[in-house]
Amino acid sequence: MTLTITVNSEPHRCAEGLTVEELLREKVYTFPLKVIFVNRQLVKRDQVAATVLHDGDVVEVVHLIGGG
Amino acid sequence: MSADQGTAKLQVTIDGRPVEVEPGTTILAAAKQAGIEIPALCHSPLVEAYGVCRVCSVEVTTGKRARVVTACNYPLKQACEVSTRSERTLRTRRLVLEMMLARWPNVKVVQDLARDAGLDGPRFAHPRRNGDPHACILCGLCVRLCHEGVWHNVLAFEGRGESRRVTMPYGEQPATCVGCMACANICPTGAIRMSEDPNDPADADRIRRAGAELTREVVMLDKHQCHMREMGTAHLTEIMSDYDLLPCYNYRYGADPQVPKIASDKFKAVFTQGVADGCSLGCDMACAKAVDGHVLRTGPDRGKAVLVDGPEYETVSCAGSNLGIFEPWAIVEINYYCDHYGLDTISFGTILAFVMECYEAGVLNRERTGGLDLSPGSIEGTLEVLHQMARGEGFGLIAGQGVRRMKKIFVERFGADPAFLQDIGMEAKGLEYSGYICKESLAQQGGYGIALKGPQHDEAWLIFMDMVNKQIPTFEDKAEALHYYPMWRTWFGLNGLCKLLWNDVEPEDNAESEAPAKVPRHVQGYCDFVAGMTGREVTPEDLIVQSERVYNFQRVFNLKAGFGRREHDAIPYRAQGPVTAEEYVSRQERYDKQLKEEVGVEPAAMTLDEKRAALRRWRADRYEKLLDAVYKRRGWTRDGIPTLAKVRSLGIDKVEGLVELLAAHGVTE
Repeated sequence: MTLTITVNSEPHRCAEGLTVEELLREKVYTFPLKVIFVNRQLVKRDQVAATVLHDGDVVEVVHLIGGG
Repeated sequence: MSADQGTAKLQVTIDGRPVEVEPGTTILAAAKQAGIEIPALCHSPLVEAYGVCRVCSVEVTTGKRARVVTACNYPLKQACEVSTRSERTLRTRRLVLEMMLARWPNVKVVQDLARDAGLDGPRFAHPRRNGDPHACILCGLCVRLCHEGVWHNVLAFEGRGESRRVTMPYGEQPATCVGCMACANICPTGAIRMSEDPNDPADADRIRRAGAELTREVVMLDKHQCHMREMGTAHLTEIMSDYDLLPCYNYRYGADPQVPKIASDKFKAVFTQGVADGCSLGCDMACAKAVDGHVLRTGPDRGKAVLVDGPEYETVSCAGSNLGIFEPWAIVEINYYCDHYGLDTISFGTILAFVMECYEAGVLNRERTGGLDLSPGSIEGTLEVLHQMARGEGFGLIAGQGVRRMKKIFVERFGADPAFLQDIGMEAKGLEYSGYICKESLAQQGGYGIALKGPQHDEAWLIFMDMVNKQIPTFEDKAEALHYYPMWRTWFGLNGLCKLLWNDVEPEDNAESEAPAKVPRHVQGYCDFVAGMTGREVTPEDLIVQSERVYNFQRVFNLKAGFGRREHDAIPYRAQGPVTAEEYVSRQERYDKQLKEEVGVEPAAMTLDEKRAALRRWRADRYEKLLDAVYKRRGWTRDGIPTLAKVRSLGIDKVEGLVELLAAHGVTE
């Protein structure tokens, strides 16, 4: 079964049981300084691998500004 | 070993309290986990445990065996009982502190620990008694931090026993000491401090505290975040490629299969230097890297082994991937000769990228380049043009004039299509673009286009915020970001302070702050720095106003110099969208989706040329709307000139001739 979640305001289809860590890999979000919220709740760094996503979840992956 | 590797946890008790820890955890860390504080003096999370002061002594009982150990460097390997308050523990700790108190009776940190241990005073006189309240107590934090954290070896112990002291080689400050003051910041007694301060700060201690926090973050956190201490800004190369932002082949594409050949690990392998250079108090980021022993293959110094300062990300991107050059040695060599000749690697790279696309498109050929093959990826041709530029000869004489003049020359001499050259020549206000693709970030198109000095990203780098995070969807949101960030980043330049300390390392709890992208705690750190220097309290808002005053004055200066109107904020279409058919096709899915969802046309029914034209109209129109929104937010006219009300509110209307200059450009009451 696939889920439809929202990632940074855009719909994203993914496999059931996907964790936040796997989502970051799927989206190739490799920049290290990020803040992640699922349904407006902060996901701390040590919870990224353990947090499983559910259908309809709203994920915000805030990349902190960088460059230069 | 960590739990991830399947190692079983250890059960220990500390003061009768059961604690579960990973094997190898020190007693000090285990006690902290259990909420038990063990006094310590020579311990700091910034450096390896040392166990020299022995204040953290505790009693460990394993089976029938009990012994006193130092908690800071004793790793737990088997089940045991730890007592931080047993009679034997307290006796040991008191004796240690009594000896310290006898030798350094007026040092506050010793006095405090002795009092906590129940000592009134020493029972004996120490032959080396030192009554200085700022005496060095030989904890070694400074020596270890200089070695382990700062990666210098300026400080060391000298002598043994009672003669032991902290010193520098031959007792003098060596040239390798960059004055980062990490040693002074970590010193628990104030034995190391700024003896002379030409800047005469109002509150040196406040600056010291701000610096100490910075050292702590850089030393402890960078290795888990950007790894800039290992690789400098070159860590960005593969990341930018992952996000389709790395300029490749004159900004046509944002990624390339060959990027792994110039990824940060390739440069890490050749970096031989890279220690903190002391450019900012307390900062040990060590972002500057260098390559020793690069044997030059071209140019006047061919065959010589040289030291190369760099390369940084901008050099790798602009003078590497953007030229289709994916050979680290070639990038290092370009870096060397640009420095040697006094050329900027960004401008040089962007110039050559334009030249190569012109060569590929037939605007240039061997005859026109004086026999040089300047196809994309040509290392030999690139280096030869670099040498020619320095000598003022051959094709280098043309390329050395920059993209803006080259466009004119190619039209006049070679009959090139001016519209095509305008589209692909990555310059604005006469300056070449720096190393980021901004096609998918309208805000960054403005960040580059409106920047006062030309398209440099040091005013604003909004690509993640705009394109990836989707945090600033409306024109007004983007305009607000194009107000705050350029003002904030201008502030660094005004004060000669580095930007890396703002957001290239992030506090542990930044995610929980009210505005993580602004890194509020670091903004406050800069305020502390200003207040510590000047004695005047400032808020983050004050800093923005300081910048706004200068920024608007600079905009007026640009106006006087012929660069301060809307027409000067125009950007080449390559910065806005796909110029060529092959560019469109390479990201067709993305562009077709935009046509359908954003522009409201049906791409399936259109030819490629029609799609490109429709996308271009839409993107160009959005850029103009962005300029309108930004000018409005900044208090400028629709032509991009500060209004009278704006210059008055900032107090710069009193500058002689300024109001008259505005009037001459049609800005009146």
